[in-house]
Amino acid sequence: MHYMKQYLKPYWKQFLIGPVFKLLEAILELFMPIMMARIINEGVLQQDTDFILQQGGLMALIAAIGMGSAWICQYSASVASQGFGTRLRSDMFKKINALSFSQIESFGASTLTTRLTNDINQLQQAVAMVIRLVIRAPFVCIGSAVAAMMINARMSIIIFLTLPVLAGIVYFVFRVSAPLYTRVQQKLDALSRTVGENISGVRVIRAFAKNPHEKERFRQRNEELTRAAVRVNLISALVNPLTTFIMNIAIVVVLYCSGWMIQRGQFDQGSVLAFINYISSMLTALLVVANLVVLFTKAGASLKRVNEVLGTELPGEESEVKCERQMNEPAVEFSHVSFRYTPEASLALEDITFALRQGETLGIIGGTGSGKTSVANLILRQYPLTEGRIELWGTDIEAIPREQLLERISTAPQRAELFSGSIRENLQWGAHDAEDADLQKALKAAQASDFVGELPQKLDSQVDRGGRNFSGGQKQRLNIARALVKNAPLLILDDSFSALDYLTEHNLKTALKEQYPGTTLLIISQRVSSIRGADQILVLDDGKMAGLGTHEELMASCPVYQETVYSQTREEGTR
Amino acid sequence: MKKKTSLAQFMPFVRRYYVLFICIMLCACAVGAVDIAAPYLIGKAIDEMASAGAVKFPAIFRILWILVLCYTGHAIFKYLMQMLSVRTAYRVVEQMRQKAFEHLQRLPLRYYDTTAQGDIVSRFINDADTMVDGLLQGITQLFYGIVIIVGTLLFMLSQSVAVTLIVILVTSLNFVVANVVTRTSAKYFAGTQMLVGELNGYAQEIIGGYKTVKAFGYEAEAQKHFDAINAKLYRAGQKSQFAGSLTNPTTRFVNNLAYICVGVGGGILAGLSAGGISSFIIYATQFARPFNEITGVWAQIMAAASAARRIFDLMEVPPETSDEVGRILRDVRGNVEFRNVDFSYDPNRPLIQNFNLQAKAGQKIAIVGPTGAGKSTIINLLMRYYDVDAGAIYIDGVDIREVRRDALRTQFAMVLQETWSFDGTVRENIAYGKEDATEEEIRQAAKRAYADGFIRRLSHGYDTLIQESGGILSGGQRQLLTIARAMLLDPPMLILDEATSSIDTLTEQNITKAFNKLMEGRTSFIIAHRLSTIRGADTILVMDKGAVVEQGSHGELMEKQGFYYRLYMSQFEQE
Repeated sequence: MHYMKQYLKPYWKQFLIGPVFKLLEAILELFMPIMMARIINEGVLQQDTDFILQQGGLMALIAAIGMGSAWICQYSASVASQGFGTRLRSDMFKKINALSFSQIESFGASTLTTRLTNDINQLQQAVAMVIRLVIRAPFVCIGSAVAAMMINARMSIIIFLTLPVLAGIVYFVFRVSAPLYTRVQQKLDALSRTVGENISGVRVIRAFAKNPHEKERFRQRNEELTRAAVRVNLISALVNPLTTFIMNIAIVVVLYCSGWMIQRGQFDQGSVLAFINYISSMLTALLVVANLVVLFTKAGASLKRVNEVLGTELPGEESEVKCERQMNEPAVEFSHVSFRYTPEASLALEDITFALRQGETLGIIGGTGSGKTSVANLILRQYPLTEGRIELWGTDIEAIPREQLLERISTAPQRAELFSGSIRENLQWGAHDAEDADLQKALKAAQASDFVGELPQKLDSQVDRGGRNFSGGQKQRLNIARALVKNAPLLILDDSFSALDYLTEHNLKTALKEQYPGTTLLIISQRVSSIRGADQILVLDDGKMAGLGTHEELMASCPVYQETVYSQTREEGTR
Repeated sequence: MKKKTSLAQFMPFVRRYYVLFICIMLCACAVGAVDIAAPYLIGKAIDEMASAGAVKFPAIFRILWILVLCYTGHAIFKYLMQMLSVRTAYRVVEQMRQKAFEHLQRLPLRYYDTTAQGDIVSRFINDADTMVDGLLQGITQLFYGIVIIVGTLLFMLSQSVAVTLIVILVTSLNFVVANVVTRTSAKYFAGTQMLVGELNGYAQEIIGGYKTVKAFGYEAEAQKHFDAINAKLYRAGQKSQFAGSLTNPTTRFVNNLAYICVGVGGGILAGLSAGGISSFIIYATQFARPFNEITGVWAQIMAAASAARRIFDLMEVPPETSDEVGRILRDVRGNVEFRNVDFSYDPNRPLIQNFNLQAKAGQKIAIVGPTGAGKSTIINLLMRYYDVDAGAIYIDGVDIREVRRDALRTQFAMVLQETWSFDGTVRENIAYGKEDATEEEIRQAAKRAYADGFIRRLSHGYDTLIQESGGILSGGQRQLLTIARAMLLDPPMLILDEATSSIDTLTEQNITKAFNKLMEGRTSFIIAHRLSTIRGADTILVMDKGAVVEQGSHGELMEKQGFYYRLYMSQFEQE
């Protein structure tokens, strides 16, 4: 809850004004039955037309003031709840962006988005309801009881006897249904997964002719969901008939007692009517309270999910020291680096040592899961080192402020991701002020100027969400171009050629050398052809260094490398 | 025209529940009857207690007993009504989901390839959910509302025509109010929904692309963009929330006016008795309530209607042609022929034109070419994910359009570039194509795909659950699973679409060996960049921009020194 305080605080005025005016409306409404009783007792029974009109006018005035108060309250509620949600969303988005790779991965990107939008929406609604109803409903409840007591203290005992019964019913029903609601949510998730699978896997499903099987699977999920939902709804549906029944019986008892009291001259007809009116408004208010309980149960779950994100500890604050690049030191130096993703996991990298000098090229090769990408992630300081030390141009990366670290490194990540916007906007990610000439140069080097040039709007062509309107190879080339536009001294290409044919790859590498001389290159690949010309090649095997040297040196000394080379170009020797 | 047919489309789903609807209607009548009779009885009872000493107890007792009986029936029928409505609403929607899913299964691949997955899933989840809400509210409020309105109207008329007219007049103000409020707020609501979608989309994109975002230090820029949408959302959200929340207090005011009018009018004009006025007041409130509640749930019903529209839209997409009468292939040898095939995804952009290919049983056909050349399209046509525009494809001399799609597809084992696993255990995922596979067969398949090793290292071995995203498995491991899935089948033809691109070369080498064994005597189509697969092929198709530019064996193509030669040689070039 304490995270929410700072978002609620700016709206303390609304939290004060809203309920106060709502309360005013409720108080005014309580007067209505009393005044109506006077109309009947003093006006109708005594045929006093003036009195009736006068009282009626007064009541209309009170009703109008009540409506005005309610409007003020609704306005306060809309400002406070929407404002609260807006601030919370903004901060949560910032927080999510500040999370480290491992933190984002342990949450999962899709749940973070859901929490940011759906869950905050739930909280927003809860805030509005607090302002609108939390004061009003209990007040009407208690107020009606008090008013009834004022009409006849002895008779109101009946009301007080029913209250605990009603509270008990509401409590029981929600105690039982709350966990069932969670179940429904889970069943809904399962159904959603099944539909998703059927869309993403449509080719496989049809290839295996499994449509009947999937239909059956969907039918089951669908039925499970329906059954769970029906079950919980049947339970919640009890509240209304049961509470109404109990109040109705209370009315019968009130009538019965009224008869006796009127007989003894202790009560009158108008008061009976007023009394019954109060019981009715109590019932209505009580049902509102019951609905509030549901809403808050739901909001409580959302609050927990939001707090989990906001409460995640970020890596400590960093120094603002300016770190100069020492050009005589290696651009990248690993000294005995070991690393594991989570404390329970086995080592992803073990005792890695190498030094890459300014302007040179390092190739990293190895099989699936050998730790190639981990090396890149560590240079970007996305995960904490387990052991050892990494230096960039003579400074320990732990001591370099993140901003300066990013200035030095440009990356083309393994998964080529584009974002909605124009091609120009995508390319300018790393350099907001890059000019078209820079962009064209990068596109040319990345072998992407051809297809971009063919687009009717060239650089202004729209990129769909996730870059859906580009092929894998096109995305990969734009991905490289984006990294080139940034033009940092160290360029990391993480498996960036996998969707490119050899010819394109070759042209790209040649252009890179010519157009961007002096750039220190780190190329990660599974293909020997991508890295064989590098100044140094680091061979990784299951997280360990299997070799380090030039292509020729490794061919002479490193069995893992030899095997890799042979497996890929077996026939080359016989050519 | 489409809008009008909504209800007509909806009827088939509702029709089979007509018995339930009649029951709900009867329950509504019973409940409504009590709600109408009770105030009358209460008024009667009050009239029997005129003053001290004049209370007629026997009459009162009789009335009270009737009341208790009525209230008991009221509770029972009200619950029954809710129960039936819940069941009906959920069952109707369950059926619609099922129908929609079955329709989805019959849609051509073109639909899947051109529609966003999230949008389709949303129809099954969010829209269906909205429909349940609307239906549930609609059914109960509508039936009950009609009963109450008709009943109270009759009763009020029997008491006093003049006062009844006043009540109708004042209450009809509610329509004006509701109309104005809905009309103004609908505009804001639509805007808000759009902005929520925009915000959700943007957040999803940035959070999902966290690796790129962090690599480029794009967080601040993203925050700026997010805050801009967020601010717009605040303005729209606050307005729509405020406008929407005006209905309630305003109609309450109108009802208070009605209440006052009855008291004043009843006392002055009609000269009603105290008991008469009190029951009249209760009727007036009751008469107004259904209108309130219907305007209250109107937004929900409108939302349900547009949700239903979206589900029906999906069901209206034309399905693939029926192939129930198609042939079934038996003892396929695997002779495949493409004869004068034309095909394009977009009629304005011709892709494949006059394509010819003859593959004899047991041959290996490799398809190479730059990205976007149309390699995967050949597979799409072969599997009949898309049908040819002109020409024909023959298997053992039979036009594949005469064959049932399932029968055709099960003649192929297919491993695709994008791996697909579903929500289930590793075992279930491997046995996907062959549900009756024995444990031994599954293990053998996994072993031959070199997947057995890592599977046994998983926390629960073959029983480990994998989610749709395959979170716990690496890309390479998921690919091994799909290969194992294909290994388990024993079809005459094989399709590999860059199947080995994210597996390291050593593993690939082993898999290639296994595949080679599997391919013996089977016609195989392979899209690959790697030399080992390309060189061993009987025919190599070299594709560029949708056309086959060269065709022949490796030796023939190398001799030609054309496109293939350049593509092939580029990988050996030294920087």
